[in-house]
Amino acid sequence: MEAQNTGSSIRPIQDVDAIAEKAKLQLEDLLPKAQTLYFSDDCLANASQLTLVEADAHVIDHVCKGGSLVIRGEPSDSAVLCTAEKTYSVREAETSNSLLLLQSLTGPNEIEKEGPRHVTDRQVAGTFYTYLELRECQPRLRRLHRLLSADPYRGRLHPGTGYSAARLAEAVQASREQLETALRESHALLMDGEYRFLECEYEFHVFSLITKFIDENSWSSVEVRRSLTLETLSELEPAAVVAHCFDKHMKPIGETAADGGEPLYTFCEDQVARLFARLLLQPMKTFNLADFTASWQQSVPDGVTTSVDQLRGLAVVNSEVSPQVVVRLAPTDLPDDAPERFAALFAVKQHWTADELHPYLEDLTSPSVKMGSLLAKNTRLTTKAGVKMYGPKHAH
Amino acid sequence: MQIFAKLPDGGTEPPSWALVELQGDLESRSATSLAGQLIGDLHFTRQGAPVLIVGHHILWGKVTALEKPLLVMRKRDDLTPAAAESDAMETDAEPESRYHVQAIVRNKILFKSRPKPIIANVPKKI
Repeated sequence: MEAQNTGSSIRPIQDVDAIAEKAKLQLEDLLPKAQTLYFSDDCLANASQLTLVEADAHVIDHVCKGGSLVIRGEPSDSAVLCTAEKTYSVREAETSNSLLLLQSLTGPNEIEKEGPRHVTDRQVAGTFYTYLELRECQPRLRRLHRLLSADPYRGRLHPGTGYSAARLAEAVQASREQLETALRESHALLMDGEYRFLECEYEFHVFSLITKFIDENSWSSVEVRRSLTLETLSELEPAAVVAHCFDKHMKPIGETAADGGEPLYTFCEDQVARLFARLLLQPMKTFNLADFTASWQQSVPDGVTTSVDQLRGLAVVNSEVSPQVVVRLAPTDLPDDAPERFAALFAVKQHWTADELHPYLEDLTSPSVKMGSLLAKNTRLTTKAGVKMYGPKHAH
Repeated sequence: MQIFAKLPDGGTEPPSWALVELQGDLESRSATSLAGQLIGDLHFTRQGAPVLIVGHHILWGKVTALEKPLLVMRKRDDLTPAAAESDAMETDAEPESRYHVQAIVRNKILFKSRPKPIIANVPKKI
């Protein structure tokens, strides 16, 4: 290959120039170097072994730094390509033109302006009519939630199914960084190298052990000690689970105890409120709003205030019926496809604020499809008492 | 499942390859394979405009930078099936890449107008 590309032509320059003059080109108007193009002997094999991938600056930068590009997904998924940080949807683009790929070709700026006329042979490595187009998209994390929710951890005797980071990377269409973020944000438990979700009732049980321990020590809600709690409770439940549950529901107050200087913790109100809401919402899909909010506030520990805002991504309030109700609705309960997703949402209630819709639509947006255009395409905007509400495009 | 692609070992910036884009398709006059066959002569004018002569046709084009560069990926044929198989991997080690990023294309020579026939000089004969 190399020899063919650097060597001069088998054709004399006189033949090349004779053809150029026949085509009415003035030789003095041309740069001295002519290049004759040939199909290489292996152009057919190359066309099947080479793939052209259109890449943005981020992808190229990642590759040039020695990073891997990873195509992820199950055979039935539409493919995505991931760098370490981002995810791109992959689409084959067709062109009616022929794309001739050459390993070497001298551009006009690289040719000496003066000198004797000469000709060099150039090999076309392959002809292409398609290339892969990459479009940055949201990580597809629904499978992650399905896998981890299917068989959650319920205690030592029922450990459920755990997944190593490597197994999740096989199944989930997201970059490594996006997968790690999703595992962190969904509070997956990492134990013995495997990720698991805690079953709601079991998580509640472990949290109850923590609140009971707080009561036994007569600590106020702003003077909880982490190390003593973990040390004591890990006799009852696995240390990793206790630590996970503590760190999810408690946060440091930024002060230390007067005796011994141990950092003090208090409840992470939103997380605690959400845990109790999940438990209360479990038995049924729809609840009377007033009954629900009353029993919810009663159930949480002292020092925690509940508010409907904390239900984000767990449930929505429907004020279109009387009495008002709260409806359990997780983003993962909804269809993947955008029109079907909107239909399912509008089946729950007819009018939504943008804020209410957001957690159920986030994964459908991408840098090229912003939330605004997604809503504009699939909903109808009305204003009720000064508040923008989104309803079905074709109201019945 | 995961399919990995990266530079061959120890590579940094991949070599730059070139792309010539032609309207339509190139066909051999005889129905034989195109492999090894001559396509035509490429010249550049002193202004940098590319001119391609293919058979009895002449094409005028221009050199343009691709809006987004193209990566040239080559499927590796030197891998054992086991090395390329990444399914159900239980380790954190990255499996062998099934594709190598062989080159990058940043510019193309685009011939978007239709080829013009070359008309031979009419011999002056009375």
